[in-house]
Amino acid sequence: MSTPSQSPSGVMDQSEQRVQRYVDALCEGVAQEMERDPSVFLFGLDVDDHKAIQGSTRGLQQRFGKERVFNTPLSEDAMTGVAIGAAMAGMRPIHVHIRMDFVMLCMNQLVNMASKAHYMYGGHVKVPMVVRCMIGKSWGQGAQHSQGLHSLFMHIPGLKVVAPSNAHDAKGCMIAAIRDDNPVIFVEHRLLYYSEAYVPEESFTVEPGKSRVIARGDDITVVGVSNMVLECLRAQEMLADEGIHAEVIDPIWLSPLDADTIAASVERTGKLLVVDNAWLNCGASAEIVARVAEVVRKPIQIARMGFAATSCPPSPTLEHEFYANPATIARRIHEMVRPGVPGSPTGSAPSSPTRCSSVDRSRDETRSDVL
Amino acid sequence: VRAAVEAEVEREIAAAIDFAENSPFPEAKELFTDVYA
Repeated sequence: MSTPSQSPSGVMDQSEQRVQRYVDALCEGVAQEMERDPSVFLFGLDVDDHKAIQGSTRGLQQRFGKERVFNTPLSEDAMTGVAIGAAMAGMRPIHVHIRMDFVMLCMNQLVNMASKAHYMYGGHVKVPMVVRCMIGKSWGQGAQHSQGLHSLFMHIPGLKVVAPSNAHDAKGCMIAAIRDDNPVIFVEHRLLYYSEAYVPEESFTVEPGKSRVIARGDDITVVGVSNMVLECLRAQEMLADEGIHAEVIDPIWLSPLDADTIAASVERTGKLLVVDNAWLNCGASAEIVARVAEVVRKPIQIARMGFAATSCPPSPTLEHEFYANPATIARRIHEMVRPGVPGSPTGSAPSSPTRCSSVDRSRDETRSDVL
Repeated sequence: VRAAVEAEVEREIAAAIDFAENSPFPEAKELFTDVYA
């Protein structure tokens, strides 16, 4: 399975790169920015407990002190206000939420305050803050602890939204988000936390508004969001054996969205499948499809996959039906590329031959190591 | 102190009102100004 092989400045030689886990890359990116900029601080529920948000905050309090890395009570709305005020005063806060579901308690602060302060004060005020939001899956926590709610924030001018799918982008996007003068909703999928990729030790950024083509193909364009990027890559591998070559694109930043790269691919393939880690209705997949349809100048075939149109069930058997997976994605691709032709893949996903294989392992860890 | 603060606030508000009343309406091109920093 592919891992990022390009830095913002060009192609990297992977043999010279260091392999790192997603959580460690996140932590390193934050640490490097805290080292570089004394205005950066990190806080939120459980950031200093022994699990250290699955390792993503490990060692930061010991290194930077309790004034810059600290735990908070269950007070998401108030603490978001603290972050906004601190950002307006020149600080660069990182507010951590161990479930994206909990960010619903902060909606007024984020949507009515953080996103609009720069506009309402005529550009005199900036709100440079990062809101880390974790999405979960396969942990049996059901309807209120498993939601992918990124599209709610994509709707709002003034907010940026990013959902890195690998360790390289986790670090690069985190550094870019911290340096950004706008509020950034940073979406992290727990199943990615122990996946590995080549990550430069030095500081670097993955800039907003640039998608990445991670697998080349001419038969269909497949866009994955967050961890669905990996599921799409697995599907792509399954289909390659049948001679179906899917082009897989990771949008990385959902707002601003680089629709041009996706549209250029669809212009060539004539087919687009978007697989989101969220519901379809008014979701990121709808936005991506609409943006592509507005600019592509020929008839194209379109499909979307995502959460089933119900709340996430806690039962594993129902949960399996709730999410798209490599087999269902591969089947949909096969139907689109070779309609009516038997031979659609029905098996399980292939074992991943490269570093991202650890994502499979994380599924088991996720079940037994819930926050 | 309170009187001084209130006087300063009153002056600031008066200056803002004066600035607003004596400024032209924004041009259409300003619609997208300051959405993102």
